[in-house]
Amino acid sequence: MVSGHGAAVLKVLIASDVSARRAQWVQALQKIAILYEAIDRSMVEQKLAALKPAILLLDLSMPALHRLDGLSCLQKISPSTRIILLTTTPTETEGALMLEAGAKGYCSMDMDSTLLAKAVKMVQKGEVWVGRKVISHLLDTLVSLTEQQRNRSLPEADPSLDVLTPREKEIVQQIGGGSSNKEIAHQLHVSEKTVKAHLTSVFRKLGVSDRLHLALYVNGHRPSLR
Amino acid sequence: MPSITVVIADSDTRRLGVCVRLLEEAPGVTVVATAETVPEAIGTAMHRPHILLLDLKMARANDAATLPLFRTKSPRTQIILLTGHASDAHVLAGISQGARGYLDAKLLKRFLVKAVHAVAAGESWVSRAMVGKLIDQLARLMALNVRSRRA
Repeated sequence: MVSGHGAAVLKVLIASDVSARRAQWVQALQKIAILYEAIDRSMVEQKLAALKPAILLLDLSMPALHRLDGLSCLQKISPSTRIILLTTTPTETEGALMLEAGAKGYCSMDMDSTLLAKAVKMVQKGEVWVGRKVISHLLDTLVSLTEQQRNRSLPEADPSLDVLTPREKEIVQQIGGGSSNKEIAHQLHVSEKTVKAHLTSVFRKLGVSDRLHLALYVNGHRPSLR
Repeated sequence: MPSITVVIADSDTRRLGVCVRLLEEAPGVTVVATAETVPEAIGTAMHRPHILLLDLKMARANDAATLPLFRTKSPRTQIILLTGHASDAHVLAGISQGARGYLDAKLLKRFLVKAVHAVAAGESWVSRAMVGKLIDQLARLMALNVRSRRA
């Protein structure tokens, strides 16, 4: 490939034990990259180390790859290489796992050649290439991990609102309705400073760390029981 | 197919008006309520809408309690954030709290109706660039989780 205007040459390593697949990928990418091929794991490792390609297109069904472990081993050999995985049977769970493990792309083997070329270009630019369903799965995982993290800072035992003064209870109810200090101050005809002072006392009595926890607590959200 | 019900909560009344108009013109979508303050927004959870369009500023107000509160009251509602010049970190925080997508306010005309349909159908509406950040955030949280499990 001639690289015009001194642009860096895009090196792509294509790895599959199935020759028809390699041929298909070569056909899809020959116009945009210099291509190298590997037909088994040891050859992949060897060429990764020697070439440090920008992209590794990796057939996930290759023998001796051991999927997740394999992925991180390959990544260690050439940390700058972005790995795109191709599989005959993409699933959301596997896709999410692979991306979490460092893959930059996860796609179906059936992807047509124009799309494959596009995926390679996007990943080269630093983006991630996955299907919509995998993204949804990633979002679910992100949300549940965030909630776990949040719940970990909640008090172990459920404190009772009975420890609060009537005024504090009023304020707490408003917090549970999403009101700001300013709105509460206005409602109760007191200063914002007073509201803040009450809140500090409430946080201490209930053992919660912030307003979000308090708001959730008031709404009967008790993650420690789930 | 039943109509997709939408609540729009936006402190920017002009933008709120634009959203209402765009969605009312769209077939298969019904705006069931609007809100301009956080307490009003929380109140609209009683409609159990399919979709809540939520101003990112409102999502971030009051220690960012709006999104989790709304989800506690209406867990099946899918939330789309409306962003202005938001930083990625703020958008990411909203997504971590359960928003299924975000829309740049400048692109409402082009994408609002599409995004509402997509998210109502269970998809997400995030850019490819954001997916990378999302994965980084996931990796951070996983590391944290491992550490606290060991602790």
